[in-house]
Amino acid sequence: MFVNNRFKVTIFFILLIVLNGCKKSDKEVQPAFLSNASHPFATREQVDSLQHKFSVNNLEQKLIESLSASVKIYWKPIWNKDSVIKKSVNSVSYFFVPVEAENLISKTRVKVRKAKKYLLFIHQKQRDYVFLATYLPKKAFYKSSETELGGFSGRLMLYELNDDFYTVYFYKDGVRQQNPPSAQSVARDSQRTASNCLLYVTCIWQLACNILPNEAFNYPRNTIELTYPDPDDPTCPEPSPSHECTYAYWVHTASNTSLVCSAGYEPAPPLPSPNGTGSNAPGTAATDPALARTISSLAAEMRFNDAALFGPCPDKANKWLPVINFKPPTSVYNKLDKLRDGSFYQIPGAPHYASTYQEWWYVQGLKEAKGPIVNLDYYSINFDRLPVVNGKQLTVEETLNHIRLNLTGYSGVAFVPSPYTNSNETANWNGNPLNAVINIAIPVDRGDVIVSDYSVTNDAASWTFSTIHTPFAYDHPVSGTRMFGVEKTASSYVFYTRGADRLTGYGDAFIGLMTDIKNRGQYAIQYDQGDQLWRSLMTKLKSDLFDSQAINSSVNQPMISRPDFDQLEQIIRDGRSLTSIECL
Amino acid sequence: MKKFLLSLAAAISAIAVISILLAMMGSLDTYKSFVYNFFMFCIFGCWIYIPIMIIHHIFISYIDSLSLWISAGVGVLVCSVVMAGIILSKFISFTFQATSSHHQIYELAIFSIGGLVYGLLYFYWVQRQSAA
Repeated sequence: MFVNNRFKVTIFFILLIVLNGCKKSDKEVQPAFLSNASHPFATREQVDSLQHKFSVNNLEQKLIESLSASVKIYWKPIWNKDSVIKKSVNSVSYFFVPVEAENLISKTRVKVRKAKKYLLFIHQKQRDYVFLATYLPKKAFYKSSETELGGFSGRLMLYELNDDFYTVYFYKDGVRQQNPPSAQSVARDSQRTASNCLLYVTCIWQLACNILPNEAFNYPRNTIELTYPDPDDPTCPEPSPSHECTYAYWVHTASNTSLVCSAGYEPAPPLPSPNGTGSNAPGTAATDPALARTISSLAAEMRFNDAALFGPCPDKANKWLPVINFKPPTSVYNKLDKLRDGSFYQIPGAPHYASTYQEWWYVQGLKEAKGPIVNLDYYSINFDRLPVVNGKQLTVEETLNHIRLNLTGYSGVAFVPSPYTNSNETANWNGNPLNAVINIAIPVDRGDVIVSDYSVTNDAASWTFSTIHTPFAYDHPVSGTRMFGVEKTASSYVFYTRGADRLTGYGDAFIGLMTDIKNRGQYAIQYDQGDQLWRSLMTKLKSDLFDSQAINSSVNQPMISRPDFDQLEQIIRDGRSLTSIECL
Repeated sequence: MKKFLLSLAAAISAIAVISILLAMMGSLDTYKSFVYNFFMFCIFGCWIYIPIMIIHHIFISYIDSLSLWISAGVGVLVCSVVMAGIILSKFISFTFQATSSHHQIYELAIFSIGGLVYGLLYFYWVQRQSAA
């Protein structure tokens, strides 16, 4: 009996815990390219063999490129079987190994713009060639209209690592051109006349940034980027706007220029598209090499660039950028510094180290969070006139403050000024709320926030919460920024909240994933909690504030964007435009 | 070691029961809430349930004629007192709002049920195992 009971209880809970996993295994299907026998990716054995050939010939040194005193690039191959593309054309085998740039001096990864590089192994008639392949697109190719994504336009430069020779090919609209037109870039230089030569320019950019406009600019070590100009226009293109700091601009520090003339190696390799036909003879359509980005390079990009997450929803990225890039003012950091530097004496029983440990009070930044998905949301309600409270017609600012001070009642979740900051947070919150620390009674996992911005103009008012870690609530479950505001629009007013956040720690991310394994955490319960809270806020504002005063109001459909990595990957593999991703 | 592992299994089972009950009281998806509560308590709640296990064990070790219901009663008592202490502490109570359910009294009751489950399983799994 005892054994039976124990067995039943144990099995019951094991079943409960694995239930979701079982559901997933029923539905999850292997990606098409893996299940298809003719998939374009190399096998593990092939990749191992390539890596062995690369090592025994000591080719690593050939992939080091000194660009300036502070930039020495190692084009590091990514030996991942899911990223190595295999093509076979006329009994010639081609293996494209993606490479990423690593600065050997600063030991940091360097982003590369306007070019794509691969380590290319060609096995032809019992002979192996190893090339560093560089795709240099024309400007128009990167202007990303649907038709232009159909084919690569620009130059392909191959550098053979064993025998040190170059070859240059010319492509237009995905078609290899047998006889390149007179190369304008070469013609600009009187010393070069050969039409099969290429002016190979590498532009080095350094980010200059600061947090406050009146601070001196600093130059973060790990924010160097390389760009490559249009082969027909050697002007250095500027990298994309950076999100590293609030005020930033790119400084062009150096260019490295060399003349590369073609040795005429034939046949030209096919373009490295997983789904392309592989044929690349002159006159044959080829596929966009940018579409051959693999999941590993994509993942790498996402790790280093949060903005990459907005690739599928570029129109939305702009709307959220102010929230994503938001940095609290110095006063917030000063307050938190002061709190962690010794305000613990008033807490009975607090251990001594609590007053000196430096991580008790700090801002939880979006970039420092561990969650793999950035949640972007926007909830709003329109109303046609400002409300009257206690017989007084409110202004835009007063309306915002009324909502702010009654946030607990309207949202159903307690927003309470923290009693543990050694200052009167209630007075701060009730007056100018900047720097007020607020505790939010989030179900199961309370969290603290600080008011990091408060601004008022004639037609708009807003305040911003930044999530913080405190010794009382510990980590806020999400890290990021949320803005609340009232604005006058053309014909009405709008109250909104716009947030950008990520799950804070690996533990939060794991738990979020467990609650939504099927979608890899895209609809994790922490996001559900937020969604419910902000929907409830808008609904209660309508019923309790606006409807009660016969103010016409309408709750707008929330905008939520959490790009799905799998969907993104599949669309890239299918060669479809990123704009075809549905933005939730 | 085996006794400790069995105690831990009893604690995790009690957490599962608590998680189910809390999830049923919440307004979000019950299954998601259960998984969330369960892992939250397991991963971040060890500073609560490990002291409960230790206190329960200390109490039980001083009782000569331990029975099923004494073990369960001690579980309820220890769990209730510890949870009441946490709920009433100034760090938690200043918002006067329950975070796991609709009311803090419900939370206290649910954790008491968890203590009951722990006490029962402790008796079945640990004491019987020791006696065998």
